[in-house]
Amino acid sequence: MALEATNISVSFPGVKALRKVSLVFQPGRIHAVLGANGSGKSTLVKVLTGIYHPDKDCGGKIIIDGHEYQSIESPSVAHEKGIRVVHQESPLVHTFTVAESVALSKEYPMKGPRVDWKAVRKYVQDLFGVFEIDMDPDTLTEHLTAAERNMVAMATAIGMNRELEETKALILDEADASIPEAEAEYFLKHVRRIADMGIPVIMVTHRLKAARNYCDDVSILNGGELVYSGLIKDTSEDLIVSNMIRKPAEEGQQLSVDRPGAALDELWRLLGSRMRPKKDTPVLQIKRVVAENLNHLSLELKTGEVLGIVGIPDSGVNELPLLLGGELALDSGEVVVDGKQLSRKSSPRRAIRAGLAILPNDRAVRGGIMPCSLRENMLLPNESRFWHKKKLAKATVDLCSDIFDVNPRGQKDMDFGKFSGGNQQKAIMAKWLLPCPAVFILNDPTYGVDPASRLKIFDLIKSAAHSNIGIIIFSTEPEQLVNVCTRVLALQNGKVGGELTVQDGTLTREAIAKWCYT
Amino acid sequence: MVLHMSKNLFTRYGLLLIVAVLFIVFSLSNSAFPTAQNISAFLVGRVAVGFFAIAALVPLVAGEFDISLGYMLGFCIMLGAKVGSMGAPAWLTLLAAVLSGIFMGCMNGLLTVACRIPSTISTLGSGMVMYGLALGTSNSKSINGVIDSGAKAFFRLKIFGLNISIWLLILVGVILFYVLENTPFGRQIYAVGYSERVTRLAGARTKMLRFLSFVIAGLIIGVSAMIMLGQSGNAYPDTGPDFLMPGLATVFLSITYHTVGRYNVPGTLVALLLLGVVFNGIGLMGAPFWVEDVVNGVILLLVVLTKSSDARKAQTE
Repeated sequence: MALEATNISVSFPGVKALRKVSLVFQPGRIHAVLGANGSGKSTLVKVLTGIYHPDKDCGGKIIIDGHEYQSIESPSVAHEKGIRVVHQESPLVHTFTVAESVALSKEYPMKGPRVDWKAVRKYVQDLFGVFEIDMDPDTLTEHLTAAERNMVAMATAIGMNRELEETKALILDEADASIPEAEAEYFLKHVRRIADMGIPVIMVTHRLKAARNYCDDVSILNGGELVYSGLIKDTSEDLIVSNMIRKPAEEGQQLSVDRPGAALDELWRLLGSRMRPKKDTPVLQIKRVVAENLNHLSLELKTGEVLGIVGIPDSGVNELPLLLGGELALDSGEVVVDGKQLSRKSSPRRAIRAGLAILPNDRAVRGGIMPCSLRENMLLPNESRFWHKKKLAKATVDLCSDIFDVNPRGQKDMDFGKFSGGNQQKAIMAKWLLPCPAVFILNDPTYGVDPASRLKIFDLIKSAAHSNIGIIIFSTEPEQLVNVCTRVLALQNGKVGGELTVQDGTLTREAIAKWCYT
Repeated sequence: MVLHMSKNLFTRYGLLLIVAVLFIVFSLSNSAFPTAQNISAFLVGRVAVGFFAIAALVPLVAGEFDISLGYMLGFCIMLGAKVGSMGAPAWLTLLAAVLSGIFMGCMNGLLTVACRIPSTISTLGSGMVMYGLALGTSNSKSINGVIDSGAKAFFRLKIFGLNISIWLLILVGVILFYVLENTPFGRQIYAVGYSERVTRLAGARTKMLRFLSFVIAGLIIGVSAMIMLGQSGNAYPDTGPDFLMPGLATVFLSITYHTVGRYNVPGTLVALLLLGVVFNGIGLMGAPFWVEDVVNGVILLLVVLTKSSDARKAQTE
């Protein structure tokens, strides 16, 4: 009862997402699929679940329990053939009880014209019996822990009796992402029990340690190719990390900074402000900060420095940008910007006033307003400067479009949503560099950005640093930090666990990757 | 969906063209239509709906929906009349009407922003309370003759042949247009309506902006109540709710004009004319009273349907 994919290639306009990937998932074994963002992991899952289809001419095949298919037409066909998936966001309704949520994705047993809730509860109890889940079906789903939610989601996806017999494979598509480290072991033991029922389990994950402890097989994708496949016990962390690192060739050419900072200076002069002076004192000090995962974190940033910060999800690396952006209050400790202590009562407004500018992740929701124009997005934090100064506003947007290379040019009234991801990101950089902040924090600046824009973004970061702005970069593709950062800090358990610098030669792609995956 | 200079003029100004065509058609088919008397009367008849539409526009721009405004209008008139009936001079009577509008706007803002009640629910609740209070204040009867003839004369003043209330509506419209389109406050309030999150991250006081949108709506309703009370000196317990539907229809039509896809002041005023011309024209042809509502509804659906789906989706979703 194995699931097999042979010679699968998937192309999108201009990109090859998967190249001749062949994998075998054996029953009773947990198979970890690893890879950096954009490596093709999610494309593979989508091929197996019928959302994407392999290229017609690649001769690829998907073999489910001995039956061969050219491609799986749709998610419902995938389900019919016995492929069960649990996604990152589990489909449980918050205000429903567990039993109601489970019933939602199954058929409702009826008693005459009404739903037979007794039968629903009985079904859920039996289902939980099969999967050894100890839980009252009347619990509200919002009271479950992340691990429990995922256990219910898996049980619901697989089902029991006939449904269970029909199950040919279970795919966990980063289902463990929301589970905190402490619960991960509990969850993975449960996954093991499902594998022991003789089901092949495919686990797409970012958790390297967990994968090494609980999985049997491992496959690593990199740039759409399968670069390693074998038994997990034959691997080491170093081997896995070195296979996950993006190939250097992909990063391409060296950066070209022509008169660095001159263009930004021109922009600031247009607005009547000037470049910040170079100082020896730190422009940002974080002192013994405690907030959620951050545990007595201290660090310093100098003017003109480009600091990268990396770490695994629980290390505090997700909270730090929120804290600096004023979205997360600190429990204790202090943040000092340019010699002034940040008020304890935090808000984005206060953070901006203090000189912190944040380019947020999740561009579509937090970065830009898609139905508003480019002009409105670019000038949003500074509207008061442009009151009754239409000419200045136009000149500013035009100059920004030139400096930040926002294409197409001269379309300042076009909806922001109609620009490509890379151009949106460059415009958002312009929005935050316009007011000449003391510290510019970029959270995942190159996510969903084309390679040319990515180079331009790095270029601009270096220019800004040259103009004495302190820069901090967080990234979900951390290996690329080596191209732009002068120093990288690795967070561990909420504080700085390691420091890599250019000067002492420790700042390498391998070293960075190691800190963020293990 | 902003002002695209490249977009052809018909997309942006088509609504005005329709008004002009209808005006000519009605003028040719009925000689009573284009008389100064008829036009003046018909414009005066649009003023109350116009104020209502402009008031409802502000919360909609900020992404909120205020359905209490109809009841609020009746409440403000009744409260002013009650003050007047206790022997207050005209200026105090009218001031009471305006202040009660501002006060109820603040209440709506507090309920929605500070207490985090979705605006449809908070304003439904406050609207029902205001309706009940208006009935209670007047004991379900009308209050008459609370304004002296001097003040009444002011509100019946004609400037260039048009009643002063029309000029006041235009004045409020122009001020609001300037505020929404040309001030940082206006830019931010539109931004809040699209994405409170991004706007907050950009350093704007989004809660204050949302709160103020309710207060401004209350203020405009208060001014409208002042004019209505000043013109007649009478307050009726059932005034107000009737303006809700035609007023909202007028605002929704505004997204098809000027800055297509956004609620805006010029669009609201042109839509006001459109609905008025149609109603007046077919009224002169002898159509019965119920036709107004049918026509209002059909026009709203037709005009919005013929616009691109882009424009429709933009702010109504």
